[in-house]
Amino acid sequence: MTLGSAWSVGLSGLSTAADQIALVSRNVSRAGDADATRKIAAQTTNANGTVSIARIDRTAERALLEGVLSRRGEAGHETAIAAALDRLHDIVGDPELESSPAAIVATIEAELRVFAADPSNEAAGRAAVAAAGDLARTLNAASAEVSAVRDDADRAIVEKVESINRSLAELEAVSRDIRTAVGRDGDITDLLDHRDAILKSMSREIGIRTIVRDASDIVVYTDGGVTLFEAVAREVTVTPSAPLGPASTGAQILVDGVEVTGLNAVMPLRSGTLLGLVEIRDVIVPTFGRQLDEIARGLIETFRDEAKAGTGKPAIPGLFTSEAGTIPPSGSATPGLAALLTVHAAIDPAKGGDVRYLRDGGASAPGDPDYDTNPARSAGHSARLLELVAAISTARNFDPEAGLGATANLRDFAAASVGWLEERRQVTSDRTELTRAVSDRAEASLLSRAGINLDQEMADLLRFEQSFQASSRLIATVDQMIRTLIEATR
Amino acid sequence: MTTMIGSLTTVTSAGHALAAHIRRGQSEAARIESEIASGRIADVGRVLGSETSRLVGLRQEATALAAAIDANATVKSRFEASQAALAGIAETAGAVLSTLMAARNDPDLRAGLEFEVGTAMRALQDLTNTTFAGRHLFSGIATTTPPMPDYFSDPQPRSRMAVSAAFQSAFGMTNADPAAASIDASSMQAFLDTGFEALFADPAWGSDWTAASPEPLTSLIAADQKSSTSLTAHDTAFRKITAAFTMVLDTGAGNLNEAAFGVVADAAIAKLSEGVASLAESRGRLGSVEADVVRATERMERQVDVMRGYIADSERVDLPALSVTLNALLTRLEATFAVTARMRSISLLDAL
Amino acid sequence: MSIYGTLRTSISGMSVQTDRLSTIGDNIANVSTTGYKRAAAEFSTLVLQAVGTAYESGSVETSIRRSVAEQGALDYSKSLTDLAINGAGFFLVETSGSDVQMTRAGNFTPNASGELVNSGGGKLLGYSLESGLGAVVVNGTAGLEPVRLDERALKAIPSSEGAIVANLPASASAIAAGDRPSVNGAGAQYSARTSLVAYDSLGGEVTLDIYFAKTGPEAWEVTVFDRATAATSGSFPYAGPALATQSLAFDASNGRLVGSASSLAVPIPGGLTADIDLSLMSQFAGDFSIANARIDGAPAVPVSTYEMSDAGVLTAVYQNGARSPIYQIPLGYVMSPDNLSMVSGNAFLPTDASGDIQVGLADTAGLGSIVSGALEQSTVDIASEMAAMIEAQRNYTANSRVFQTGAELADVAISLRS
Repeated sequence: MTLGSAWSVGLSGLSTAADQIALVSRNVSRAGDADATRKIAAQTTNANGTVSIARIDRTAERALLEGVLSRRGEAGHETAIAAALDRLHDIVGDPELESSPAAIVATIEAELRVFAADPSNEAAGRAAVAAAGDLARTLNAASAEVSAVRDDADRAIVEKVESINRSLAELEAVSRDIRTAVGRDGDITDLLDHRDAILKSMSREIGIRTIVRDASDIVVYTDGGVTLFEAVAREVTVTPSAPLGPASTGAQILVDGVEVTGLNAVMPLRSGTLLGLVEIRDVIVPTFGRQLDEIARGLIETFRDEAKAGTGKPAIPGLFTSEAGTIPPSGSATPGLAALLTVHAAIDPAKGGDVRYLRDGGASAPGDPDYDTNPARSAGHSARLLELVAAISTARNFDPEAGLGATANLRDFAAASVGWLEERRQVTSDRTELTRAVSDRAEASLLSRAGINLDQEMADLLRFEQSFQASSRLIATVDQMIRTLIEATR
Repeated sequence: MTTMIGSLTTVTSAGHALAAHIRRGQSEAARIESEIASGRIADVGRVLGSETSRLVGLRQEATALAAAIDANATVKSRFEASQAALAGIAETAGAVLSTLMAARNDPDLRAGLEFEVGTAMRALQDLTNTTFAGRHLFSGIATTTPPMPDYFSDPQPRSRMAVSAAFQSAFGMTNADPAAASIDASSMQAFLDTGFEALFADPAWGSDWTAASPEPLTSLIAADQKSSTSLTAHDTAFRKITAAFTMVLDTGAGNLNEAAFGVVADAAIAKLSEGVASLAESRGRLGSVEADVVRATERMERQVDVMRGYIADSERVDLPALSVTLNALLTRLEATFAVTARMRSISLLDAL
Repeated sequence: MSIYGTLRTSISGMSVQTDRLSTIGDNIANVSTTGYKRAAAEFSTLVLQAVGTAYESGSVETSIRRSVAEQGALDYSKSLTDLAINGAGFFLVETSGSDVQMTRAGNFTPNASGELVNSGGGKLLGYSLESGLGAVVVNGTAGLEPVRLDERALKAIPSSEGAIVANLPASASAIAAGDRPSVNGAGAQYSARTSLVAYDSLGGEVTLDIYFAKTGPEAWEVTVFDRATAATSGSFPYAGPALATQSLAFDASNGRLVGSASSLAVPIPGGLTADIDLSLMSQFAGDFSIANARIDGAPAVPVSTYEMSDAGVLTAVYQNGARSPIYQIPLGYVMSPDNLSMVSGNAFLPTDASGDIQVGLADTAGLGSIVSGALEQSTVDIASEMAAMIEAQRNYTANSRVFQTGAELADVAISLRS
């Protein structure tokens, strides 16, 4: 050991301490960043006693990160569905407001009862027709909202797909940087943090699983096993489908050429906002739409006019009708009917009609005696009104695909639709809260294991400051000794 | 807060957890406050799920029943008006009956009889044509038509012409002919039993005497209980009383001999008695339907009360429990704020 | 015994101390010269044979020793082209128009043409690994050429080896023979699909679509297609036939692969045949899940950086992370390093005493390892030099006193005559 080597040991101590302090400042500057991990310098002692920084590590927690990724996917999935269900809920409204189609069906029945008690009271008839108009408009608006929710979901799908592709491109760029940096033996920790941040933001949109290959190279699969990123980004594609017709289903999403949504998907997605949006677009909202269409069809069927027995003439629309002006086949939904439902113009006073047709029948065939239940035009004729009231609670066939059973009466069917929606809302909102809480916890535990603790950094800072001071004192001492020698030569 | 500020948990993560906690706590507190204010679950659908369809169903039912109750009120008022009119008819018929019985045995009274019965006939017509809220009570479903045309109108109504025609065909003279005195009792009896009687049977009654529809008003007096809720002028009581009055008015009674008048008077008394009896029966029938309506209304009112009670119970929040929850939540939030503030102060930064 | 003898002796004493001071001056001047080996003055006596009883003072002569074999301390730097040798051996460098020289000064920087030149102007020599490592000529410098780092060089690595470790879902339903991917029909079905990016000889990306189809109980078929030939739908039918098809059989009792088929030879279009290892595939109930999937190879990209191994292999690292060794840096050595002759530029040349230059690989028997990002410091210790300087000064003064005393004695002798 010579004074010279003591000098270089001191010098290496100084430069290492300076590097460590620089690292602390890097950590501190990102302390508020949830994506930042703590950076640690691996310090080694060289053969001659000097110290140097061999490499920079980070406190990565692979398993915890993987947990966060899958929890985020689940939360994204449930949150997307919950949002759409809330929009559908606005159609139904709170039961107290009695704004749902079910409540208005009951209002029509009530008005019909009042009208039937005094059929010559035209005002009562007009009130019943007004309630019917209210229901038709409510169903029209609901049907429009259903289309809007589906179209919005489709547009959101396209946007999400674009953003996933952007994330994948970013991932490709970062992965390339990481590979290069690994080769250079450089500091890749910030790049890894960036990569994890991309994965985290992507995992909300689409359920992902990751595998780390050699040299910190990552492969990303969907939770169904389809390759999203391997060496290069795979393409996620979808054709925009909006505006979607009532009967049409949207285009499915392809990842790496494999269909990952829809009934035919061999390797389907399991979580993520994207899956939630597809379910909204193709399953949940269309089912609700089908229920609305069935309510509309049930109304036309319930209020239809039967021809007198033996005439062999078909039933014709009464109070409710659609553009087609015929009775749609029973027991199967007519897509988009709810949007076209109207109160018959011959009955609606607002369209120059006469409520007499509600009391007597034959709105669709004025003058045809086979549909006229009151040829004498008796003002107190209540028989048909009473039939209509009874028809509202008569069991009839509904489309089982609407998810509310095959037979029910109109009133119960409409009420069951509310229950169907609210049940889903309840289940989804419970699950949303649960998955969100689980996801928050997963993120918190990742952060607590891998994140930056200011106190730790400050303590380290003190340590490195001391080591810096000690090293400078060593150099000063060596300097003093040499100076003494030089003075001795005088 | 159970988050430990240990050396493993970073302050940053604790901060994130606290922020999320505060956010969630605040929205939860807002919800509970609104529920306490309204006493009702803020988002019924979300809390009750599929149970909501039951509540919607009950509300539908309650709406329908409330309407049925309203409708029954209309029906009941109609009943009351009908009963009042029928009572008037019974009174009129009773008065005529006693007069008639007196005149049967006292020829002196025969002179005033025709006038009195004429008045009674007018009263009967008026009462039968009673309207309630602009609708004729005894017209059946043809509520806009008065059920009984004026018997004394000029030109004569079809009913009066039919009576005259029947008399003419039976006796070969008009009913005002003084020759009627020659009609003997037995042929008068035969006329009353056949030609005259036929005038008040169907179809002559429907075509000549009344414009009422034979079909009574039908109403739903309960959720699905249908009942006839009116008496039409086709009811036997109306026919018999009218027949009795007509006998006195238009069978030439003024000119008849003693024996024939006796036959007419006896027949009229018999008809009138039957009519009054039949009227009482009809009123009884009407009264029992009215009682049905009242019972149904009461039952439905109770049902609506039960339903509304059930709905309110289902949607009601447990106020004491809620205020306890709110207090606990607010305490937790305050604790969270305190911890957040404390965390800022326990940083090592200050020690440097 | 003579006064003049004394004078001569003291002069020689002063002269050698001057020599010593020169080495100290040289050492102190080179205290920061990378790879400098300190010089030391050693003395030896020259004795005059005494005649009779008289003592004849002799004189002293200097011999300069250089401790070439002494290891200098390593000083770490941030530059990757700063090289140091930890142990015996020398870098072989070439200066313009001279023989191969040896040096420990590893402070190389690339010059305009990419050659690594140290502060003494020596260009680092190495064996090119362009066509593989040839035989090292032990006793000569043949085959060595200046190491040249060309940042613009493009390099592609064709794929040759890979592996897939995945679980195939045991519960999948079997696919009829006519519908399997291997038939390449328009409506082909599959149980799972994945893809890998491989590289052809020119570094072009070839995306391999890999299909797994269940053919029966515990029997699977894996088929590989070139994505470039896929139908416009991105799937079947592919324009070209399958690149490879392989049947796999699994053990129903433990879900592991059985049978001889455990790898897949995929001829990459325009490239090598990649051998994809499937031996760790499994078949359990559960989803298709990939535990590992990799294939080597890299596209053609410029060099990003270089790295040096302890054994002296200089590897180019391309921007895609691929690496390829480009030079082997050998070390020179001689039998007696301390007898090397020092020339300008921190370099040494062999002498008869040192023996001829021998060439060997770093980190092999007797030779040190090459450390990248470090420099060997001068072996001069300033404190020792100062101490030696004080000693030399004292000695010089003592000699001058002897000379002074001798001169005074001579003066006395001369003044005897007058």
